[in-house]
Amino acid sequence: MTEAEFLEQTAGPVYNLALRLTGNRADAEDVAQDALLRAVRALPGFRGDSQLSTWAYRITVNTWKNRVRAEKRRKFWSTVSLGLISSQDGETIQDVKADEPALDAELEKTERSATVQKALLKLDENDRAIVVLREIEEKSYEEIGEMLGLGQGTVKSRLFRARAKLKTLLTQTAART
Amino acid sequence: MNDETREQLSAYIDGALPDGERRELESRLAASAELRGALEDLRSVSRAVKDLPQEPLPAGFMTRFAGRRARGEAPRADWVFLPPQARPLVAALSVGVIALVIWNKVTVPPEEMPMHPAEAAKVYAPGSAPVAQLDLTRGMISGASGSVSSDAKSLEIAGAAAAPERAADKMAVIESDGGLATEMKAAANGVAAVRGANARASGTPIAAQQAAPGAAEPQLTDRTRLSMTEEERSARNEQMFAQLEGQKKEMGMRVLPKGEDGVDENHRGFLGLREPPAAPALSAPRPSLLKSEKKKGALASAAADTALAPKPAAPSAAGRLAPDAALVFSDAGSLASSWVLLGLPGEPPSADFAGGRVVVIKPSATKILSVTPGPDAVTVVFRSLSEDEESDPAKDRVAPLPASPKTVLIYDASPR
Repeated sequence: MTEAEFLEQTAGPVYNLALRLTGNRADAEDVAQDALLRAVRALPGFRGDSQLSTWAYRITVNTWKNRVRAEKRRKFWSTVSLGLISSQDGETIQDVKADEPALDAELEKTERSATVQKALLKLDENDRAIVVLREIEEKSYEEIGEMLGLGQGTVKSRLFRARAKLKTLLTQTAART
Repeated sequence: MNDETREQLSAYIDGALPDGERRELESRLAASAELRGALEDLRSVSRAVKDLPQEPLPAGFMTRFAGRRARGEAPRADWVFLPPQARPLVAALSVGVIALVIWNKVTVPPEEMPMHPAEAAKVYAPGSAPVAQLDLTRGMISGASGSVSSDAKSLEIAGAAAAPERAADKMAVIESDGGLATEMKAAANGVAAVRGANARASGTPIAAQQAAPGAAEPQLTDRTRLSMTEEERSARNEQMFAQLEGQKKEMGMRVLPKGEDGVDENHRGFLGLREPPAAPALSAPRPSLLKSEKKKGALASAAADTALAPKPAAPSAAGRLAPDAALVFSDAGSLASSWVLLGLPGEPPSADFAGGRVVVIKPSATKILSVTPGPDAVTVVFRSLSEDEESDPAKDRVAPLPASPKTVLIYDASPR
């Protein structure tokens, strides 16, 4: 597969994966471009052990997780909040956010989508990645485990917990509105 | 309903349950409305996420991506964790350092450029038989105008190029308080010598030091690395300038005013001899530093010229600061900072300073022809490079020498 074919096939899915993981376009583009740069560089060494899309998603998820970790390190040094979102039960969840309106304000035209995206952003990073990879990208437990370095049993249990938490968050949002 | 059952439900909607578990769960679902309700909750969540819209790529995404690829841009480094509030300070400091470098280059004419960050340089006029001597064994420095004790904490170096059209026939005198001179135990009886261009013609005896073979030839202990990243270069420059500023303060270093000439009481540490004594004949330079037979021939010729063509020194005149000088270093810090400021590529070579070595740099387009250790002196012979010769600073301009107990005789053997 040539680079051009690879990019044509994966750029869109990689960007959408990044969009759901980050929650905003600017960060999604950064993550997607970094991931694609890495992928293109590594493409000659791709051995075909997994599907190309799975391989590209793994790079994307790792790029995003590294970015989140870097932001957390910055946060450690910073006295400025990077955008803390307090959930109703008092739990504080931090996420990487660019200086642009979140999807719920700009991109998502339906209230339902905005609510779901916001709830996704309140999940733990691994849980969010699991949910997105399973529900949106329709990856199997095995593939998800391979991408995230988790066992299938772990993927199964974390996916259940993430769904349960999402259900709670969505129910709470619905109750408020 | 326990969590195990809920987890089974979650796996069930993904089709991830083994057949046996699936059939058993389906039986229970048929019998339990609560279980069916829980399953529907999970399915609704799953659908909600699946229904999130797919976005097209932003306009210009691929163009920006192609631009990053074309620029060879690396993916964003994940290890950067400089605190945001520190970034303006670091940026300001970086700009300051860059401005300092530019300011130094712009405001100091090349002819007045110090040869070494820790010393100021002064150069003597064409035809003044630039000769200077370093004695690495004693605590004093001396020249034609007298001697200076090591209490003066002075260092002299000298060098000259041969061709008059190349602003040669000059000798640089570097003056400082402390630092290298003390570290090198530089100079007592005007013993180590540096000879300039007209030395070839004059062959004027310089000092009663005859280079002799026998001592082990010093070797560079490290090869230079010829490429650095911008980050490495910036960090190194910052470190070097900080070190330099500290040295300046500590040494009370100053630059000699332009046009000042000669050796007087204000110029302590000068070792140059304006009217040099008779010079000894040079022993044949060792060819071991040379890489080719062709260069060996050039060396032999230059050495012979140097040795056999005595000529009286010309009268001195007001000198100009010159880019040509031999710099002698006895510690890695001074060598490194000078390496940067001289704009030499790659990493400075390392020598076994702790084991009693010094390093000589001839910063201009000059080749070190030979380094000949003797029992009492080390003779270093330079010559100017011809136009068709390429210079490798790491090899052609650097000579490691044993520092003690040696006199250093430095000759410019360039043909006139």
